[in-house]
Amino acid sequence: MITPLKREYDHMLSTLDEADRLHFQELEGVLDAHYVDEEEKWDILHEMMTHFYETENISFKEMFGNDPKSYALDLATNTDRSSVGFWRDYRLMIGYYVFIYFLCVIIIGRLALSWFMIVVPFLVLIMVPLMNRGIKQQAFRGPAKQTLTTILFILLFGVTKIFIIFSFHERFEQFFLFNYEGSIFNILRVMIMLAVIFIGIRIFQLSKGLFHKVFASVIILYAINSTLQTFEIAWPGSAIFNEVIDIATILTVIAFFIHNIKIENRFWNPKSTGKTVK
Amino acid sequence: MKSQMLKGILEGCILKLIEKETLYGYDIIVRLKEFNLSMVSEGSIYPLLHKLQKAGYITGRRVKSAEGPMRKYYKITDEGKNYLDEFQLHWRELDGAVNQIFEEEYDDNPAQKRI
Repeated sequence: MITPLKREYDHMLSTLDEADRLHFQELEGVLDAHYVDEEEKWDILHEMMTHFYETENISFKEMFGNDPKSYALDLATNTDRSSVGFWRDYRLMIGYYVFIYFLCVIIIGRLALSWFMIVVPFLVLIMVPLMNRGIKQQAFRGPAKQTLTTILFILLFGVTKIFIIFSFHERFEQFFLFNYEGSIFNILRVMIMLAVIFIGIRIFQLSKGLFHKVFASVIILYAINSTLQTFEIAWPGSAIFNEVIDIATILTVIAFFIHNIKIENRFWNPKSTGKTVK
Repeated sequence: MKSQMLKGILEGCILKLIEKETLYGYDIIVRLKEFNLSMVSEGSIYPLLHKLQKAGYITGRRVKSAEGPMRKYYKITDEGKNYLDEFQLHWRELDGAVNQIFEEEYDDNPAQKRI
């Protein structure tokens, strides 16, 4: 969400000389690398920028000292940290390894999940701070430590990938939580359904209206049922459930599109603006 | 060393200025310069203001300005006033002691002759 402070800050930033603009952007980068709380970041940057903006004929270095990096580091170490940035990076890395996992599933043609995979989220947990320090080196003090963290990050990054690839190997079959070797079509179907379940859960979590929650629930049930069908898992009443969920899904998808078209039209409907068309 | 020394003293000076009236960043710099503290770079007050705010000694409030962007005005809190009293007490003790040492150096002091 763009706050009024950020809007004003961006406007003032756009009026600066290139050199001063770069110094402010460097400051932003350092605060981001230290996972400074967003609200606090814009609060302090806006205040500094306002002062700088109101003081004419003075450069960044004249106002904030000859070493902007050192100034930024001092500022960053005195501000509150927020875990939001860390978990955003964590989710990104997990997403990347899920992609690698699915890629392996397609290439190897085996949908297997090993107990070994439990380690991956923990490896990523160690990797994220190392990645942050390694990639955003300029935002931290001490070059010697930075080189070590970069090497450690690259090692962990590679090891995790190899770990995922080798978890599919037949030699580690006794560690498989489940193992499905079907046609590539079935494997793709399961993968798509797993993605649908994930998206459905996200829609359910993020939506506020009852309609969207019902839509998400039906889609999740359909995807779970479809996955069970692929694995040929039958349960009492599954035949009837299959029919019901298929019809419910078709009806829900149609209703969803009609609902969305209605929302889009609402903005162009003269009645909603209170104006009359002659 | 000079900047470290200045940082500690500046905290007290800024608090004192804010105690007298509600000020925003630019005002504080102007006031400091009026008191011949021109060695203070304009940007150096922001990490200090931030630190004082975090400690609960001052509070900031954004006010719309007719001339441009919003300004953040600072006001001292009760906690800040207590800290300022403490600071003033320590400063007087320190000032007295340091002055005594330096004055002794210039005087023809018998204690120095002993060395």
